[in-house]
Amino acid sequence: MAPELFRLDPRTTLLLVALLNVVMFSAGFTAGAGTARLIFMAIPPVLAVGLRRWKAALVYLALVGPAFAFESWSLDTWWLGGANIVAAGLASLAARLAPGIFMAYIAVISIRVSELMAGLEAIHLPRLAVIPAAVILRFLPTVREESRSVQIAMNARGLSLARVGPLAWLEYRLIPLIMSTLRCGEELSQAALTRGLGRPVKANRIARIGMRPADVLTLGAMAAGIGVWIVG
Amino acid sequence: MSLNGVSFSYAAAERDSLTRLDLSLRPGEFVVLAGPSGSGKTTLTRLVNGLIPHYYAGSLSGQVLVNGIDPSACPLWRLPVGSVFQNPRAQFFTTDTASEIAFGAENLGLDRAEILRRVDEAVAALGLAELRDRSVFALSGGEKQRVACASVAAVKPAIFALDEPSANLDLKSTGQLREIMAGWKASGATVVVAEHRLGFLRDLADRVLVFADGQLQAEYSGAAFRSLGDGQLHRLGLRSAWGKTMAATSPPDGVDCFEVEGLVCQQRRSQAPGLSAPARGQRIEIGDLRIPKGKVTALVGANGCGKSTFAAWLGGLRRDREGRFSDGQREWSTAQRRRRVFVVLQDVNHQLFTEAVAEEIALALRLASPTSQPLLSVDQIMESLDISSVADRHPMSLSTGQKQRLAIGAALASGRELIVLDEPSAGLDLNHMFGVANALRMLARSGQTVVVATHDTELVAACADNIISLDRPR
Ligand SMILES: Nc1ncnc2c1ncn2[C@@H]1O[C@H](COP(=O)(O)OP(=O)(O)O)[C@@H](O)[C@H]1O
Repeated sequence: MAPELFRLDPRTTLLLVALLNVVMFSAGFTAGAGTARLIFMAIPPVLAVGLRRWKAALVYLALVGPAFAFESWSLDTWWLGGANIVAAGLASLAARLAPGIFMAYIAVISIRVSELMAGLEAIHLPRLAVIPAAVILRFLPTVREESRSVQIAMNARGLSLARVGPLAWLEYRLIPLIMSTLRCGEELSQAALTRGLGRPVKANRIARIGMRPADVLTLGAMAAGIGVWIVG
Repeated sequence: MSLNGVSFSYAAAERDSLTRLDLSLRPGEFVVLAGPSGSGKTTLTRLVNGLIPHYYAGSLSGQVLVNGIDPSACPLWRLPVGSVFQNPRAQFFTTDTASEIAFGAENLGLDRAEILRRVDEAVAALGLAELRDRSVFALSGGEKQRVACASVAAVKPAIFALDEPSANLDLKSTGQLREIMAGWKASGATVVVAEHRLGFLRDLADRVLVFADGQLQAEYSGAAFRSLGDGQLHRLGLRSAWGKTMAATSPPDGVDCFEVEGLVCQQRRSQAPGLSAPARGQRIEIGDLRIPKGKVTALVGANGCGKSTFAAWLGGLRRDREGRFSDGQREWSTAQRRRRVFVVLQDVNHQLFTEAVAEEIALALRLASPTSQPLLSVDQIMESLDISSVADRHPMSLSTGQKQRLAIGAALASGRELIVLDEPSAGLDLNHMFGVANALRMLARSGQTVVVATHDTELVAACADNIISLDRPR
């Protein structure tokens, strides 16, 4: 789990996911838009480092940095011709897609289910929205765990891709995964029901949410990014 | 709590799961529900905690009263019942332990200070201080089950309903669970627990109800139950309530053995999440040992001694550098072990891949290397493991005992020389345990060598030729 200093309120994280994608896909090619993209692009790897995901941050920088640089450079040298346009288009796509995906990944690994529930309940979202969001977040790591176990079981049985072919491999991989995830889901909803999840009272959550220094910094960076975009 | 002439059948089922049950529990009573799988124990716990009729639809007749309330006439959250389930993995709604312990109390709408006080209280009462702010994914099965208990305790229910809470736990965790339940009993709460493993509940039980086919077959006071011997328990279809000690045996010299030399496993986190791995970063010294060929060898030892890790290593699923394995003449590399050793992992649900029982066996036969032993047919294998009657069923629709036998069937079909099983009798009732024991003997008769990592003394007594203990230096 993340060191306290870097912890964001879940709502800050979710706002960042949303705004980052808006900026990536709506920013044009003006200087201000470029700066805004640069600012937003730089936030996720900082968060990743805070979460001690060094490797992920490096991979991200190694992919997005050159893509963005190439996109900017080729804009000034558009006269290079056809092949260059295709390459620039691809680079631009990568530079605009990857930050959103990476940020979503950061959100999934950093937000605790308890904080998400507390945060969303605090802004008075209806239960009908809070619980599904919490359940999805709760299930992603479960699916990953189950998936690993299935892979180990397949290794043990000698069910390799080469041995059984791609279609059967996929089937063997997915059937146990789906079955066990479904069963987990059933057991989870029973556990939640017997612990009073349906009770029509406002629950006080003990998870700590609210603005902390990291939130102020992040919100400041987002505001700066949006600012230069609008001005420039 | 009382039940008057209660019958229930699940919506999808043809017959009643409970038939005309009359029962009344006194406040503060500790009641154990025993009986073979499918006898209706779980169904009764669901009647107590309101999952019937609120989660499981079906036809319910007769009158149920829980603390004077009719569960079907009020919403589920109104029942003063706390539930602990069998699978520790799937009963967490959040992903960190502190919030998980608080979850039930939060839903009561208590104020923050009171919730935190109750969490502290539960943490102190259950001795969970070191587990308080942890990711639930980093907990062992036993730790998860204790956190689940704390979460229930923080709600302070009048009645606790537990459904096979020890099924996936090792001996040490079961002991801790026992302490927790003893605390509940001492606090005056009513406890209803369905279990196969009766040993750890023996001294706590005020009353033991034995079920068979949805009916109350026998009823004992705690004292009367404690006077029953194994023979009487077996006749009731129950597992032994008395631990047996297991002495390690060493194979005589001159017997043909697989040999392990100088093995040290370095436990890294999540290297093998399917296995009950000990805490991370631990060094597990296994050393030298000999596994007689064509026999069933039980691998026993206290919790955390590395049984599961060793099982994974044998199967070539780990790459620890220190340690060699040979068949007496030639050394087997990790890759060779992966091809020549068949591992049945602890959670059998991850290892059944096809859509029908017969197909699962056929798949294992197809994957068997042509150089291995003469093979049996699909039908012969199903026959010998007593799963022919379910040949066309989906593996996931089987009972745990049948799934376990099917996995053993796949091992048999694989024709591999060495078969390693990790806790194959977890959560099984007496008959299914004997079924597994017979299946293991089958494997040995067919010339395969069997290593079974287990803490189930009855399974060891029923099938092992040889016992290796990982506890002490050999
Ligand atoms: N969800 C369900 N749907 C249909 N039938 C069920 C369900 N759960 C249990 N049963 C059936 O009810 C009977 C009693 O099962 P159960 O109460 O789980 O017994 P036990 O806990 O003693 O193993 C069995 O025949 C079982 O097949």
